[in-house]
Amino acid sequence: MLEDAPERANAAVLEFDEVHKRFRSPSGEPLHVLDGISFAIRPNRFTALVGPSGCGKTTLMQLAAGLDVPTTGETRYMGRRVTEINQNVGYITQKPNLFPWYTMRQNVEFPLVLRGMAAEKRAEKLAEFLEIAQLEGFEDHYPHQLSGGMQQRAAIIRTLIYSPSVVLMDEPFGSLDAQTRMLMQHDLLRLWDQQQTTVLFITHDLGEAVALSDEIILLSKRPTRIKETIEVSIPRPRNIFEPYEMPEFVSTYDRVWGLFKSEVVPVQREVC
Amino acid sequence: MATSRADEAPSGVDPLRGIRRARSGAWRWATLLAPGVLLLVLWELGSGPLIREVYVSKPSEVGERLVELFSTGEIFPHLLTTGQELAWGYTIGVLAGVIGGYALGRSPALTRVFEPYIIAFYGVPKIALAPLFIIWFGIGIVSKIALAAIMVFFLVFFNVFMGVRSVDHELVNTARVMGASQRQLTRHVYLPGTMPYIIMGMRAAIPYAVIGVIVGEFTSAQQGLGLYMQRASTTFDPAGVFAGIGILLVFIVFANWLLHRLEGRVLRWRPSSGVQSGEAV
Repeated sequence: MLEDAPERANAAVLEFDEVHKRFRSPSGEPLHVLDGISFAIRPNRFTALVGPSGCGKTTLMQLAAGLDVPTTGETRYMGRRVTEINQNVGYITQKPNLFPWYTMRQNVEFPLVLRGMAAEKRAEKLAEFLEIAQLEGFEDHYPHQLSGGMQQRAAIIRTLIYSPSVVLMDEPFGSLDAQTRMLMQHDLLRLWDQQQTTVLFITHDLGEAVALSDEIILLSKRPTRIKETIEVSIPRPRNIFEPYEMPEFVSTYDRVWGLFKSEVVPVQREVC
Repeated sequence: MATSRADEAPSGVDPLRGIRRARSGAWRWATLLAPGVLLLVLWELGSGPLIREVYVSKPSEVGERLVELFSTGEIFPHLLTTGQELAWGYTIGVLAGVIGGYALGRSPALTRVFEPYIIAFYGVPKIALAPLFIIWFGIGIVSKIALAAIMVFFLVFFNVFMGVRSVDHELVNTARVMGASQRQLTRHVYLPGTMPYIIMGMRAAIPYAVIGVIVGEFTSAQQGLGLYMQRASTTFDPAGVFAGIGILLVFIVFANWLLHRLEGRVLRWRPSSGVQSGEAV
């Protein structure tokens, strides 16, 4: 499995190679979800995955994290085939998935504890990230005592705090209110700039995809193929708070929407 | 949604609060005790005019007997024996149940092989083993410990087994992706996730330990509360039987209270609304 990878200075961190995934639905019918997906994620880039619901975006994340295997084809991390849990990625799921038996502090510190980091160093990191997520003062609350948005923010910093080399984010801001969402987007970009990590980001929100990413991978309906890959060349740092002020935001958005529309709007309605 | 904030209201706001709280506390106790007191009164009055006293005795008689048993010290050797049997039987049963249930729950391979057996044995009335256990382990305390332990074991085992398997898989995956080793998974995810079921099993097992020990002593024993009660019933002494039951009652209430405190401590993280408590059945 560990075949020596050649020089990979600027090669892909994460690759999907002709990935097919079929499931069996509860009623026993086969469900063809991924129909030959191939793409590569280059290091330190912010890539957004956009597609209609049910098209297998989450499945792609699970393949990257090694939580699932493709029916055919393969997923590679740094040139090596992913065959078991991929501990090089950080995976922020749609649900916060905080441990209900730990306080917010214990939850956020959890990956650092797993790595045996000393208590003072943990406290330092914790303070830094709590400030970013604006969760100070709630350290000793249990998850059920936090609002949904706070839980999600805690879950996000729980992954960012240990700086995994690739961060997979599955609609991380979906449950947040508009203001918090904007702040979190802003902070995410700031952190990403500082930490130089690679991000693969699922979203339903085209505006979010355009505002945040370097590249948008547009997926079709099931059986899912890649419909288009769009470079987003809006200069950084980006202005999350007034996206429409950014050059090229509108034109990129229009282009993505134009491509996406046919996947989500039924054909008959498109005429009128 | 910081619910704890409500408790921080300054205490000077409502001067009647203390009195109100005390009154509501007294009311709670009154409603709690009323049915028991009513039962005792009916029993006291009904014994004689309604049912012959030789069948049911009466509370005043039972009370007198209890005083006598403790003042003469007659009951102490019995209590000591039964207490030891309960403590050992319960502890062994709980430990074996937790370890066994946990090991089986974590291993799909073991589960496949053993699950049908476990389910089959779970349904067997273990109490039927009492005479056999006397033959195997003698009429001393070991046979009672074994009987209590096996009854407790199955209950705890089953609860823990189900508990381990119901631990949220997404939480397990989250921890694995973050780099948790098998040992770290056990410590940080599986064990705390199973804890409600462990406590649940431990709670349900208390009366089973008592049944195991008392039935064992009924069957054959040299000393113990069960033996005392059995002698009392064969010599037409209902007061003695009820005195024994009274002592067991106090023990069960006390053990439940202890476990309730343990639960409050270990499961502090659970929402205190009653909704969740039905989850671990």
